[in-house]
Amino acid sequence: MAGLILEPTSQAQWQALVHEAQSACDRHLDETLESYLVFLLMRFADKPQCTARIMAADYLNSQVLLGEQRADKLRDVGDHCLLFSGLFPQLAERRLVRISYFVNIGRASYRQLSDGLDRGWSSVYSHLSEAFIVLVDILHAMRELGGMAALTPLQAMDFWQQTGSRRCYQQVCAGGRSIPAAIATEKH
Amino acid sequence: MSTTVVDARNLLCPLPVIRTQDAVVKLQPGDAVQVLCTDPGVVYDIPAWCRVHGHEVCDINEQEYEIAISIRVGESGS
Repeated sequence: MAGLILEPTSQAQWQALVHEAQSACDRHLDETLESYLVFLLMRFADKPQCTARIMAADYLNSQVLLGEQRADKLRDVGDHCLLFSGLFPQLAERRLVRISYFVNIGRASYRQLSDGLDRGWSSVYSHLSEAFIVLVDILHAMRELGGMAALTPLQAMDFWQQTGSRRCYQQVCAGGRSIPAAIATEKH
Repeated sequence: MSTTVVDARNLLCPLPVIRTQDAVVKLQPGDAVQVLCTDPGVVYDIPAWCRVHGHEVCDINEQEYEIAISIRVGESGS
């Protein structure tokens, strides 16, 4: 981290942190996605217990709901999956799943949400689904601002192979001398 | 009428349900879908999802390591 973040409000502090993470990983969000991420982080900053949630059960439960209840549940699942895969990737290892497991559930949730909403909000969630990996890359960069790697080299390799994450590709290139040629041409 | 095969092997629930959903959205009522899975949870999850969305489970074939679920797409088509 470059230094202390001395912003007057909590929102401004999170925004400064998101900006710093974007610069650190050279990935940039448009204003809508940046605001969504800032408010998401603000909302969950005081809810560490959210990591106990079981996303598979929540996703399947959302399928039996209708209307606004369904939309709320899908949004909640998408948001949690984004946080799990970006801020708490070690959670996947503890639950014996890949990080991309949360990515797939999160993207599907946002995509379904966008299909069932009016045009204005629909485009936001569609955009979130498409830019999910960019958001995860930024959250990984945010974790690394403190000086600790978000992913081990093996996790980075796996995540890159599963999702095509540009940041993980760079981490793999920086950490090793060779990338399997067949894989390197397929992804990224 | 066509049969679409969804390969959801080595995926954990609810990803086979998500893959099935993605395939069914593109199909017409009456089309057939065969979902290949390895997670035993699909034996409960996919029929439950079909019941909610109006699709018919025609057959569940459990082999030693693989499960094949045959679905007929219902009128809702989603």
